[in-house]
Amino acid sequence: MRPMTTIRLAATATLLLAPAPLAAQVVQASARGAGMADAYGALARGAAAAFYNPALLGLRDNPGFTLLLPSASVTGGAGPITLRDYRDYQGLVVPDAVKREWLNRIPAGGTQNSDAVADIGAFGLQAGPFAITAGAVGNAEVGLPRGAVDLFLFGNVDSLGRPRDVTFQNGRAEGYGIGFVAASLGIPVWTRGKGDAQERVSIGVTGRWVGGGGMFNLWSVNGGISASPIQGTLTFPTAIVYKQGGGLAGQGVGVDVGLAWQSKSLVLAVAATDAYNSFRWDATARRIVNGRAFFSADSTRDNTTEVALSDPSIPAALRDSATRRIDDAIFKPSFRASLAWTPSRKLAITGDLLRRTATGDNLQAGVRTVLSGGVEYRLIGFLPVRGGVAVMDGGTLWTVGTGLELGVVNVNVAYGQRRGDLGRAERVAVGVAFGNGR
Amino acid sequence: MRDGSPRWLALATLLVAGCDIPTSTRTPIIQSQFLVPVKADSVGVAELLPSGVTLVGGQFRVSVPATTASQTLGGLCGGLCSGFLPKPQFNGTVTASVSQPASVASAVTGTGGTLTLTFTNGLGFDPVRPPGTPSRGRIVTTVTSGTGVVLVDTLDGTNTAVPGGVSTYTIAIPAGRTLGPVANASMAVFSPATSTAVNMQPTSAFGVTVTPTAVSAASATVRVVNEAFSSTSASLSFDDLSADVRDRVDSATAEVAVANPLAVSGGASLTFRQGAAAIVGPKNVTLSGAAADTLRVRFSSTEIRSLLASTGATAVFAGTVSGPAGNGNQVTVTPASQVRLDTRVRLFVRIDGN
Repeated sequence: MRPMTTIRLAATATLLLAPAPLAAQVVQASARGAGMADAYGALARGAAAAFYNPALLGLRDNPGFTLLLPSASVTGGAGPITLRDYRDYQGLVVPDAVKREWLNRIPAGGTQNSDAVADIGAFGLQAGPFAITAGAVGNAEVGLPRGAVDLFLFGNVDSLGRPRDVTFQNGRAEGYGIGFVAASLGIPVWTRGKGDAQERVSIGVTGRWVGGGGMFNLWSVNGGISASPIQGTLTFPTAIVYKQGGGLAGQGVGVDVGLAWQSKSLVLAVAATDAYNSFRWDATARRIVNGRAFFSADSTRDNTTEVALSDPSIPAALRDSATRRIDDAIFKPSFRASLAWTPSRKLAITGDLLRRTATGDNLQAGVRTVLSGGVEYRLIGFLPVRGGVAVMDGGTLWTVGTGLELGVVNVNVAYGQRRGDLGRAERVAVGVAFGNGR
Repeated sequence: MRDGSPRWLALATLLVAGCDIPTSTRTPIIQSQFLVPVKADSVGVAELLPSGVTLVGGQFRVSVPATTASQTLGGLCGGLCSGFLPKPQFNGTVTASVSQPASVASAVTGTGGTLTLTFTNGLGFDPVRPPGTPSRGRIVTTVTSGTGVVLVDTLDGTNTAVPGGVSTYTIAIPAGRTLGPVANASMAVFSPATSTAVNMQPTSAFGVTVTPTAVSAASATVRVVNEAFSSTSASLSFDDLSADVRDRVDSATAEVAVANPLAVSGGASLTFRQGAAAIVGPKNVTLSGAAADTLRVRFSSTEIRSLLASTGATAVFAGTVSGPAGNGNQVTVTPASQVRLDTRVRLFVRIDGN
């Protein structure tokens, strides 16, 4: 007997049900922007502007100097079994009735989803129209089929303790980690008037070097345990890209371009992020696991051996499938249209429309369209409060935030919740900046 | 700010308290059950056979002792054979009784068995080839058991002589005949008349030793009384089970699904061994005699973790069983009969983040 496979399945499921480990994603590293549901594409200034639209660096009220310390916006969620469910039973045995209710939330053929996104701005330095930024890009998502959740929660027995059939299909998990260094420039190309009433049009460009740390993709996890005889199967083809011994598993360059128009109290801006991006995963770093396992009373077989994607032992169809997924794991352009209206020094109202062209296995393909709106109000000059809402593919997001603007030191925090197809996610952001920008 | 700070602090606290972010590193505890199979095993019929019955070449071999019978010439000849005279025709019978082992109530014969007749002819002449005549006699052997005829065979004097002294004659036991506890062998001796005078002594004897050899049976009804058995599984491999998974097993139950067509019952024990050392057990169980039964043995967390940490452990199922008491402990078996044991282990797993 080798119950290893069964138990490993369960142990793996434990990890997948729990909030997934946090990875990173670029652009929305600003805690101020996070408090406004990322409707920040026309309000950002200083080094933060480089993450959204480089043309903002050329606007009238762009500060002379800002320094962003490492900041992060972290989102992690799960659903239909949510983090709240998780929290409610921390340290407690989950009763069978509750487990049943959790399971029933997942429709037949559906999945329990966990995702984690962390936007990390490792560094940002802006002087005048120039900015240099560095950060990390990443994401991790897991879709655990209902059958796998069932197996995790109840094992392979029915309510009477008898063996039962449990099957699951189309489980998936994917993730990646990427770092970048970027240089941005925003310059005015047209002005009219003077002072605070000056109208201005600026353009901006960001050149970005992107280095890939690695990625993985389990695109079709299938398996199950039969009741009679008790035997289990599991297939989990896994494409992996990383450099053995360390180093970059992929690299390329990307270019963002932006355009902004500013009047006395209104800014309209558009940006194309990754309008060009040559990032590709290194062919020599591509590996694969033709993952499969079988157990019965009489025998156990499994394969978790990782080999080069070119290894002749890999069936051609499997290699082609993995190759296609790795080739597709690249950045595609995304477009942002933004406005910011600041009728007074106390109030700012913003709106953004983000449209990503990424699909399928492209990086950042999970949410393609986001329409967000935010508001910032200063009860006291140095104490802003913020709020924002966003609607996106299959979900909504609300956020709140605040900050302390103490001279040249700005500290911002934000919290939000995302609800939708991927479940309920929590978002926390914190950032510190030096300079006379925000 | 001095007045505002507490309010903002309170708001921040409320925000954090109201959110769904886990507040500690403790995780929910999921308790689930996993049934994992152990290689199926069985107690073969050979383990349950009483003495005198063995399993050879897919058939039972019943050890039937030889028996000897004899008849005097006077008995064979009805008192007509005496003196130095031409021998009259006679037709007499020698009978012998053959008993199966006491533990065998009945058996259905298989192939390959023989009955060897060892004649000890003290008559002074060959009864089937008497001198001075071309006529030949015969010995018709009939074996019956109960009301059934097991075999009928004719030794024809034309082909076979039964000279003075010792001679043998072998008869094949046909398959598919039912043997009861006792079989009677009747050897009817027909000796033709001869005009040649022979010396006939009424007290001279004609003896027959009946030796059943390699008596096989396709099935048998045997008495099973306190028969000991022992069944050892193939090696159980837990060696690739990591310690962190092992530690999540709270407890376990070994469940032995018993398919018991023989309806034997008795006491048994289940022991998991590594080499000669017992890792877990012996755990006592009772075979009820039901055709289908499930025996359960509960392991403590310490025991199951010891078992899961073992390498090459075996499950030894041993005990003493008897046939149904209401049926005289009789069990009808075939060489393929077995008590099948499907053992599985029910692991009560506690899954948490610790």
